[in-house]
Amino acid sequence: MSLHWLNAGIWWLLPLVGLPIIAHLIRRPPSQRWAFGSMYLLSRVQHKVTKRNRLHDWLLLLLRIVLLSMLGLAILRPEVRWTVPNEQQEYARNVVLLVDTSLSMAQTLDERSDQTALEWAKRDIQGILKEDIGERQFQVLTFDASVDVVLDDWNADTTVVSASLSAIQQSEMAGRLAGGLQKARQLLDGQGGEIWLYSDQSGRVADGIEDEISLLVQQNVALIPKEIPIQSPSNMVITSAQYSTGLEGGTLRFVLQHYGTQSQEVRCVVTLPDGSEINTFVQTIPNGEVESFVTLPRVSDGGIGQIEVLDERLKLDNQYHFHLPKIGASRVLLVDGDPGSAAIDSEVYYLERALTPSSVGAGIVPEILSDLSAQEPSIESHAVIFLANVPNPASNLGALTEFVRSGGGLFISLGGNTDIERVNQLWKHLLPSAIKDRKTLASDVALGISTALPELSHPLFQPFARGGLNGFPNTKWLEVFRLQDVVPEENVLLSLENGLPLIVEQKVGKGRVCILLSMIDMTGGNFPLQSIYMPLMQKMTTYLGGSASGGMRLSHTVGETVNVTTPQTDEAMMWMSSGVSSSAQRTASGVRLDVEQSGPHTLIIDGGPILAWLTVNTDRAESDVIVPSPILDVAAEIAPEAFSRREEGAPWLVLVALFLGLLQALLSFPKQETI
Amino acid sequence: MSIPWDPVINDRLTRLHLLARQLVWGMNSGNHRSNRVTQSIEFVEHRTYQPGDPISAIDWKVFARTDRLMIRRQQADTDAQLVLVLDATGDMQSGIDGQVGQWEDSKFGKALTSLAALTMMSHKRGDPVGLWVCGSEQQGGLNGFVPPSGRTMHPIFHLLSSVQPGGGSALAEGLTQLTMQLRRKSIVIIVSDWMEDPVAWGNALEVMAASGHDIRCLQLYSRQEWEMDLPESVKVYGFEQQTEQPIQPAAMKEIFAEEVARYVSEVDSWSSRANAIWVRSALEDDLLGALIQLVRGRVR
Repeated sequence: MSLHWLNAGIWWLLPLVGLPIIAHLIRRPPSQRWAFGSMYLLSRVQHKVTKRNRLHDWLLLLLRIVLLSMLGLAILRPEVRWTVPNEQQEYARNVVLLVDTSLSMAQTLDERSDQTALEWAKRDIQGILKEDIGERQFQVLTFDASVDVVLDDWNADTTVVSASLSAIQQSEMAGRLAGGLQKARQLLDGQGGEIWLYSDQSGRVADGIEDEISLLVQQNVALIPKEIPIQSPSNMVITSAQYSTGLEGGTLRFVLQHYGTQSQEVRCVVTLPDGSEINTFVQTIPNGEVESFVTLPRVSDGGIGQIEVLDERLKLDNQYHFHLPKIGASRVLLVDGDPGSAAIDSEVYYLERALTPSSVGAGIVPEILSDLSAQEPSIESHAVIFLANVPNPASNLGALTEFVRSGGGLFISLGGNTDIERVNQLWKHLLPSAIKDRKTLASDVALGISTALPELSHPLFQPFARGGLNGFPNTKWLEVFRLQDVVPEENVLLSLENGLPLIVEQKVGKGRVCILLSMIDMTGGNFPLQSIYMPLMQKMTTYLGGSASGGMRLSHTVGETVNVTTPQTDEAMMWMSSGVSSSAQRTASGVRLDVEQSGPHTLIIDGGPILAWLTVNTDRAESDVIVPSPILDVAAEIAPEAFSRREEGAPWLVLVALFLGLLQALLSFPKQETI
Repeated sequence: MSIPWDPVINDRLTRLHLLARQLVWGMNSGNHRSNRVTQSIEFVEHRTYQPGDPISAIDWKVFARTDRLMIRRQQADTDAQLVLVLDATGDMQSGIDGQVGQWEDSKFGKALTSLAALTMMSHKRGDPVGLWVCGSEQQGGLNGFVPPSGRTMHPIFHLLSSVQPGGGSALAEGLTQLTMQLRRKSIVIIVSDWMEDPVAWGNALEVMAASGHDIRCLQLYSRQEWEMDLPESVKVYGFEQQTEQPIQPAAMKEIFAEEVARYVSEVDSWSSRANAIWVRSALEDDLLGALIQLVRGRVR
């Protein structure tokens, strides 16, 4: 119901009704003087008369204000409009039962009820069908993002129609009424009829229905929304959750949106891939969102986690799935090939401090060994291994190779202990090219060769896009190891200004090897003292360790189509979801998946690695159970004559004004004013 | 200011007898009963002779009949002094129709007429008469006094013709001072509008009555005012306050009447406690009837 002013253009005249009121207030004092001998008696009675008359005066003034306001408003011609279904006067034989099965229809009718809106809709239809429906025949349609025709044809048998309702299933998708109306109109085939709409009308259900409303009116089709008795609609939903790693674990930051008017404390449960649960409580804000976080234990293997808000009103959207990246970078093994007599002489002295400044920083926990033979490399215990000027490349070579093949990251820096022949022989499968020789570039740092600017689009150098590029020219090198072969450009991550490769990479199996063709300490140049050293080595660690986790991280919404670009392989690919596998539908560039249910999904090659991690969550817009604009209001804007009634208020206002005028006349006779 | 004489009133009052309701004690013999028991005409009582009693007072005839010595007590007739009290406060200037300046019609004018006539009456009877003026602009708010005696007519007339009404409440204080001034029990006639707090002057009146005086009060008022029979919208003012107040008489008629009734009830209560004769006279009515009531001592 809304209020409109037919003479809204003269609103500016309304303040004029205040003039008589001002005249009332500005009372001219009497001019006649009277010598009064009983002033004593007057003083005894004065306070009583003043109090009574003051009250009387204000009542009179109030009446006059309201009276004049009524008249003023009557001149403005107010008109009350309210929406109604465009029901036909004549009997409609064909009736389409259009049932919304979108996610929001899973909300319960009230806090104490378990009955959902969809269940109520079904029962309401069944109740109507039990009554005398005359010669009507029915068709049943359901809609969410798509439209389903439930009955094969028009059916007048109420038993059949009623039974067909049991086949209607709750969906997790968002609702699109426009499609449902279109299909219903097509079924009615221009013959007129009625559409009984069962929808909670929340979310974006009414988007894009304008054209359909116009066509329905043109084709003499009545749209009759049935009001679902949902009391105090309320819903809580996680709208986003982001996991980030820390030194000893991770932090999940999430946003809890509350659609409702009453603040309350709600429990949220985070479930990790290993099944462990962490509880947290959040105080919600009415019709607002709250950002909160929960600290999680270290999840080394990554995967997909779930956070669930325990909301009883609409359970279907309670869960939100988020990615847990494999924590590779946090476990780093530094093999110091030249420990030296003092700490500062250590080959990895600067590297260790770059990775763990103030013992925290990037969440990296380095472990330092002087000889790789002391500990067998394993992807289970470390994500990245730094070999710094190691003298014996044969140490645990087999395990080291397996470590890289299985996804580990290996960083090699050369130096005085490097035996080129042995390295070329033993590490040939790890290197992009054999090492040719060791070349001295300058004897003094000031004369050293500067580092060329890197390609900022490469993940390794992305941090420098925000600044710090000057550090590269300032980093100068005294010695480098040259390669025998020309390495493909994409394998050269960093080079010197004279064109010599400085850092090259080689993919081995699932893992990656990066080689610094110089020293990691001060003997090769001034690299450890430059501003780029720490961020570059930290990024190198995450580049090598993070990439070892493998698999794409994809996030989608129910109802969307997921296209995944995969390697060209003949091997069978499968989607895994909650322990259930299904064959992946091939496309030209990979595979696709039409997701209809929320939850975690993984794309795997049978017996092989995980190619993609996919989180599917419900459409958060559909979770908004507050009806923004009732469908009838939308329809009334498009076709006001069909969907609205109006009543002019001026006659009523004049009647009220007359009554008030009479009342004030009675009160003011005889004229009564204060002393 | 001249005294507004009323020959009719003078004529009627001089033919009346002002008799004291209580025993008074006068210097000369007169029409009023004295509280002094003496050898006189009117027998009062017998009592047993006691040593010290004059032998001449023994009623020998009773002794002859009863063989008992009895003293004959007789009451002497005496002259009663009349003390007139004039309220000369500001509000006494008010008259009828809210007019000022017409002395004859004002409360003050009526009071002067009354007191002059009473003075004449008392003088003609040979009773001593005095005048006490409560509050007066001329007196600077102090009380004027002509002590009662047999030769005070001219001083009283002089004081009455010279006094100017003005000032604020003075009745209570004036009556208290008068009580202290009076040595003899007197007939006290007070002419006032009594427009002051009854509690204040009521106590003073009660003290005066306790001193044995015969109190008679003439209350002058305007019926027009008490009934709020005023024009539709006026600005009223008093003589004791310098403020003006716009009022709507019709709006307050009822509540004012209630207050007047309450005030009259309070006045009657104090009057009763002082055993006073209380006569009210509206300015709009004939004054003579009220004065006759006052002199004859018939209450209302």
